[in-house]
Amino acid sequence: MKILKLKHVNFTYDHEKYVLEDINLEFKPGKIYGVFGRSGAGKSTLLSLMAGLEKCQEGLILYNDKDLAKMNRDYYRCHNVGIVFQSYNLLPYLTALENVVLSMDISGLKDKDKETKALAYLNKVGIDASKANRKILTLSGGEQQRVSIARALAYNPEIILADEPTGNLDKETEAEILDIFTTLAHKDKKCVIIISHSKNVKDKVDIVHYLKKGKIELS
Amino acid sequence: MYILKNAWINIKRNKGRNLLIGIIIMVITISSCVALSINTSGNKLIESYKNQNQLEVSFSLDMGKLRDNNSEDETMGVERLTAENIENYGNSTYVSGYYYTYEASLSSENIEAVDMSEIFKKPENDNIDDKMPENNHGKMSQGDFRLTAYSDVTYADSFTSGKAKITSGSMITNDDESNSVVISRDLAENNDLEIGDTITLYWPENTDITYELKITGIFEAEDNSTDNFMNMTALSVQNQMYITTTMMNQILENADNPNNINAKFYLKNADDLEKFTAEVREKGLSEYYQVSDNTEEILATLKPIQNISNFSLTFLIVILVVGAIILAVINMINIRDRKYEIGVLRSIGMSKTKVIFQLILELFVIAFASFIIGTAAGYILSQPVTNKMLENEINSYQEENQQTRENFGGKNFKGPENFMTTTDYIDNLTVSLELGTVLKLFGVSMLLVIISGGVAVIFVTKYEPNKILQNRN
Repeated sequence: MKILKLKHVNFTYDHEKYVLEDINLEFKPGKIYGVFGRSGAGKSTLLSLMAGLEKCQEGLILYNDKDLAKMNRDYYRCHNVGIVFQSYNLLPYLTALENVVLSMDISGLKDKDKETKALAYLNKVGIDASKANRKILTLSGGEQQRVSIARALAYNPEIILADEPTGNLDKETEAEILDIFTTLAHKDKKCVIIISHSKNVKDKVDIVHYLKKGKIELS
Repeated sequence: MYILKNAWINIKRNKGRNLLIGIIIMVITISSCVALSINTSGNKLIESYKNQNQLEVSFSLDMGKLRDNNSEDETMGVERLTAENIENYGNSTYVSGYYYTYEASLSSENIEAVDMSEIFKKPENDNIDDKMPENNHGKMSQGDFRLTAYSDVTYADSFTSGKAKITSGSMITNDDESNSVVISRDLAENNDLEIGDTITLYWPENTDITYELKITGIFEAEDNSTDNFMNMTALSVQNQMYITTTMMNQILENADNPNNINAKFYLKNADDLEKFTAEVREKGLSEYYQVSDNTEEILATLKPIQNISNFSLTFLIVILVVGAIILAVINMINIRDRKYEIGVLRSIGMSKTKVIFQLILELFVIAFASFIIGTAAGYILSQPVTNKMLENEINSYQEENQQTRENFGGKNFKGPENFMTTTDYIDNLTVSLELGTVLKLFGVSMLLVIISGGVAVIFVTKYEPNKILQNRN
C-alpha cells in the first residue's frame, strides 16, 4: 500500500523555469527512502511539496489517495507528517520537553499526560529527563536534532520527512540519528523520507532516488 | 488553552518590549480617561443646565428674508401672529407652557408720566428740549405709558426675576375686572393715586376715544434707566402698566396700527426644538418668521466648560491617532523580530488564525493590564487636570474681558447687559468616572489592540512558513 504518491509533479518559483519537472514517486510505510542530488537539484522544494509547506502547482500529490491540494495542509502537517529540518527549527525560548508538548497541543492531542508521553519520545531518541527540561540553546546540535525528531513523532504521524537531518552533525552523531530513523521505519512502520547528499545516509536507506536538475533519474 | 499558555510565555520573555507597549497603552488610557471624564461631565453639566433652564422659543420676523423677497414681489404681505395662532402652536406635545403679550403705548390727560429727565441736572445752556417736539399730549404717536397684557401673568418676567414686586393691592390676572390696571409706585406717588382710583388713557393719535382704568395694584421696580435709550418716557419702568388681555383687545380695536404680539414657548425637552419648529411650520407659521431659542443665553456661563469639553474631545482624537500609529509601528517591528517563531509554528501545523489569535491575545493581556492601571491613574488625575484647565480657561476670559475694558477706557466700563464677568462663569466642574466612560475606555484599549493586531494579521497572512524558514536558513 502506497501512503504517498507524486504524479507528474511540476513546480516553478518564477513561472519561467521548472525547479521540479514531471516527478513521479511512490512511498510505502515501513521503508526508509533517500532522495539525493547536488545542491540546487530541487531536493528541498520536493520535501516542501510533500510536507505541504508549498502548494503543488501542476500534477498530483496524493496522501492515502487523497489530493493534498484539496486537503487542509495545516492539519496535514500536524497530524499526518512529521518534519525534521536541517537547522532543527525548534523554539529557543522553550525547553526540549515544551517543544514536544507544543507540537502535541497544536495537533489537538487530547492525551491527559502529554508531558510523560513527550518525555517517552525524547527518551526514545536519546534525550533523558535532565536534558528534556533544558532550554534548546543549551543543547548540542545532535541533541537538538534528536529533540526535533521527537517533536516530529509527538503526534504519531505516518510519514517522517527529514531535510538534511545530519547536515550539521559529526559522523558519530549522524550514525546515531540515522539509527533512530531506521528504527522508526523498520520497527515502528513509519514511512521515512530523507533528503540528503550524504554517502552515509545513502548506505542506510532502503530505496534511493536521484534528483538531477529537477528530474528524477533512475538509480 | 495552549495558545493562552504560549501567549503568557511570550509576554514574560519579552518584558522590555511588552513593558514599552504597556506604557504606551497606559499613557493613552490615562489621557483618554481624563479627556472622556471631562467631556462626559462637561456635557452632563451642560445638559443639566439645559434641563434646569427650560428652552424658551420665540418667533421674530426674518428681516433678511423679507428684504430679499420684497424686492421680487412688491405685493408680499406677511400674516401677523394672532392669539389663536399662538394658542394653536402652544397646544403641542413638545410644549410645557407658553404665553403671549400685547403691548400698546398710550397717553393720559389726568395723570402725568414720570419724566426721568427731571431727575437729572440739566447742563447750562441746554436748550435741547426747546428744539425737540413735545412727547406729551398726542403730538407724537408714541404715548407716555407702556401697557402690557400677559395671556398668563405668571410669566411676567419682571416679577418672576424679582426686579419688580407688588407693594399694594395685587397683580393683575385675566380673571380680574377687565378695566383693572397695575401701575408703578413712582407714578402713583407723583399723581397721588391709590388703589381704587381711576385713570383715563387714550391713543396719542386719537384723543376722541378714552379708556377708564381702575387701579388694583401698585408695584415697585428696580430702576432700569440705563436701558432707556434717550430717556423715552414710555420705556421707563415707572411708566409701565399691566392690564388684562380683555382690556387690551378693546384698546387695540381702535389702533391704527395694531401693536405687536409677542409669544414665548417653553419646551419640555431642549432636544425637541427641531420637531417643534417642524410642527409650527406645518400648522402655518409663515416662513418670514424665524424660530429662535435661548440656548446661547442659558449656556453663556458654561463657555469655559464647553471649551475644555470640546478641547478634551479633540485631544482624545489626536492621542488616539498618534498612539495607534506608534503602537502599529512597534508591533510591526515586534512581529518582524518574531518572524522565525511564526515560521516554526506554521511549519508544525499551527493555522494562520491561531497564530494571529495568539499574537492578538498577547496584546490583549498587555492592553487589559494597562487599561486597569491607566483607568485608575486617569481617575485620580481627572479632577486636578480639569481644575487646572478650567482655571486657565477662565483666566484667559478674564484677560480678554480686561482687554475689552481697557479698550473702552478702563475699569468704569461695565459692558452691555450680556457682558460676562469672570465671577459669572461656572468655575467648578466635578469630574466623575462613570460606567459608560469605563466602557468607552475599554473600547479604546480594544481599538488599539485591533489596530496594532492588524499589523500581525497582515504579516502572518502575507508570508508562508517555508519562505520564512528558508530565508532564515
